[in-house]
Amino acid sequence: MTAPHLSAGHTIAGKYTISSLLAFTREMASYAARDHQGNDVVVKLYDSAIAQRADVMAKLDRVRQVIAALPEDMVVHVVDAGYDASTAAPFSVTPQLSQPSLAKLVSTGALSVDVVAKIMTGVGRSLAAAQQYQLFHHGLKPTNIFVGPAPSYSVRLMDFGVSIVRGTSPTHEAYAACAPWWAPEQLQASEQGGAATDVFASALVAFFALTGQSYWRSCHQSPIDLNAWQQELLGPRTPVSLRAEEFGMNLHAALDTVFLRSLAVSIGDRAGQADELVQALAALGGTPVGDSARTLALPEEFDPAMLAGGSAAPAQAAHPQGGGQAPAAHAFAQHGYPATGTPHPPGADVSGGHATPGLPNFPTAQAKKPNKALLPVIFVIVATLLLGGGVAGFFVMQSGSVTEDDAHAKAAPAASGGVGGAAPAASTDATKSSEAGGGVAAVPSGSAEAATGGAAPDGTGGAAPAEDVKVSITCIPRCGAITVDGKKVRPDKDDSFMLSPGEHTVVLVRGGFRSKKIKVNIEAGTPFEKKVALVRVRRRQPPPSCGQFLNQCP
Amino acid sequence: MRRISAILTLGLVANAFLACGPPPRKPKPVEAPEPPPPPPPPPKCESLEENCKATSSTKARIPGVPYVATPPPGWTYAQTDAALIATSASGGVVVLTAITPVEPAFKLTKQRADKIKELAELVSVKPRRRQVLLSVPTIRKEIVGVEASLWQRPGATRPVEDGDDVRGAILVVSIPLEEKNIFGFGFAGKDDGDSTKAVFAAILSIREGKAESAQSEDTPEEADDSEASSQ
Repeated sequence: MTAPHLSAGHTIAGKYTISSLLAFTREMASYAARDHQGNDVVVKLYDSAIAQRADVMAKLDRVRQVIAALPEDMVVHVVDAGYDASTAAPFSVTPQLSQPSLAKLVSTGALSVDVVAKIMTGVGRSLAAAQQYQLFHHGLKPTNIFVGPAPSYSVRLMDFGVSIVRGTSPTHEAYAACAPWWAPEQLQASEQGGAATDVFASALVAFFALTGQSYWRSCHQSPIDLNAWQQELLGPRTPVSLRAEEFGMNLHAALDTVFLRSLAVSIGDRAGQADELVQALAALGGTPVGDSARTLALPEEFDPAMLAGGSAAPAQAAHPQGGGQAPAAHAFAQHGYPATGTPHPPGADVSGGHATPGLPNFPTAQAKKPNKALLPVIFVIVATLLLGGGVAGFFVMQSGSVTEDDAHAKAAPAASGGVGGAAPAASTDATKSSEAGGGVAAVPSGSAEAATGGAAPDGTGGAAPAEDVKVSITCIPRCGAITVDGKKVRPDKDDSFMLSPGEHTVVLVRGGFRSKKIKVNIEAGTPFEKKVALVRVRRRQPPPSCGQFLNQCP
Repeated sequence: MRRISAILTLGLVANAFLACGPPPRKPKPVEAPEPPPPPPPPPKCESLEENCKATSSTKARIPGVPYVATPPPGWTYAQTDAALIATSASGGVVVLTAITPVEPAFKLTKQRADKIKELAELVSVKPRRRQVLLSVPTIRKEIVGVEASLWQRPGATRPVEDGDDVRGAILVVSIPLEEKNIFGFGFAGKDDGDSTKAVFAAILSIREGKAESAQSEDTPEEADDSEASSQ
């Protein structure tokens, strides 16, 4: 049996419409989906055979209960679960997170020690919180660790309980996918690793984050050589500094001892918690660890805005071993934040603009908060721009007024000279034009008559400024853009525009055609008309290549 | 003599009894057979779950334009509002829709890339990461009387129900019409020659017309299994 493989558009449990398939490992299929409210969610659909196993379903229920009791900044809550009626397969739903997974972060490059220290602190804290309820992850890997923004790099773990599903319905695909992060004891189904198994996986994850590579040589090839991996897993360990050198990376030798202890083959030789590893990383990276790494204690400066996704937590999950709220949830409430059932605002950047070296910035769901220190500077710049703009506008208006005033002043004597003969009318029109146009001297063709109503500005009356001429340049096919003397013009519907008399350079442009540059000589009072044929650019076709559909390979 | 008369008397009595016999039973009135139930409404083939199988005469509507295409015979198809989708059990896919092209050319290239991403998600095809540049086509070919652009992009994958991901190529098509472009792609496994041919044929089958009722020939019950299995 396998998990149902469904196509986009299928609705699970009548509520979740599948957008795309995210992952498929036979015993489990993960789909990106959308619920009725339009929220993006991830739906995990399990092998329907699991639904027949009451014991397994009970274990999964318990895991969900414990997860619901943990703070949402440590784990990703399951927001819904049940059975899909059409496929008889159990499913669980988690919100789609805007935070990237550790795998995604490392895909852009290895992370610095201090960043890894903070991330592993968060991992250790989340694992410790779950271990309070005897819940172990046993499936920890970079794809189910979601990292928040700098500087806190808060961590949320996902996929608690996946090991139960995989143990019930083991498949080769899942084995191949998870093997690089397994501890030796996980090779034997009967072996119960407990917290030490998660310590082993934490060490592997930390090494991966520091180097961008798996600790296992056998996992550097695709597909993984599983036989070689098993031998490596059960064989002697190479110090991590030496292993990192193999990829050209440098890891401080101080980490060798703690990593060797965390990666010990025997559970007895391994640390019970990830504290030792976290503290070694923190010491090397110069990052204070704080109490939170050692215990279930909550972060001192918990900011709900750090949480992304905005999904509501499951309502009031009961303590698995008794009624009421879980201790962690209770402590959560004591910090002035509702413990359960409260929809959190979408994630906001709490970095304050301080990016930590070694970790690339990634977009958060909301805009960054403005840095208060920059506010005065921004204010001064804006004020300067406004003031400058105002002064420039004033000068432009003043210059326009002067021009018009001069026209008024000079038009009168010209009129009295009997040359223009229409001075009063011209003066009035010019005044109106000045008022309407705010004093700007540019007068299009229609209103140009007002300024040239027979009165020359210089008072001579005979050398009036030349009237703009209607120019019609038609491209064949039609132009995309027309530029005159370096300025783009917008032709009317009939492809015409106004142009002052004289010689102009016109450039005609159309995509896919050779641009054409022409010089036109516009004579006053004579409309100009021209048709220009554009030549199509023949693009060189790429050489045909042999392929599956076209130019089939022999 | 007495004996003879006794025999005769007995014979007469017997004849009389047999002649009269028991009263005949009334024949039961013959009930008119109930009219057969009306046939179920034809599937609209608007979702893949309706399991409509295409035949060689199917005309499936391409949303947004008055054009139809014939999905590969035997493939499951759906005329959704987003696109015409046809899929095969072996992983083959044809998905066609219409876009309103934007200008200038570089924006159109981005529009195509975005649309391919959207359609690929719709049918769970993963194109190769760096292959979405759809500017100069691999070839131009006349389809529905206009010069259509075809891009061939290898390295795509699609998960199938049983087995590993199918690796193959996508064939992107863009047919410029007056206002819109018919746009979409087909996918087939690289070793799946039948699906490869079927995808190409489906793209070439695009023509002007209206979708035909699915009931006439495309009901799920009438699916041509032999053709489906051959794909």
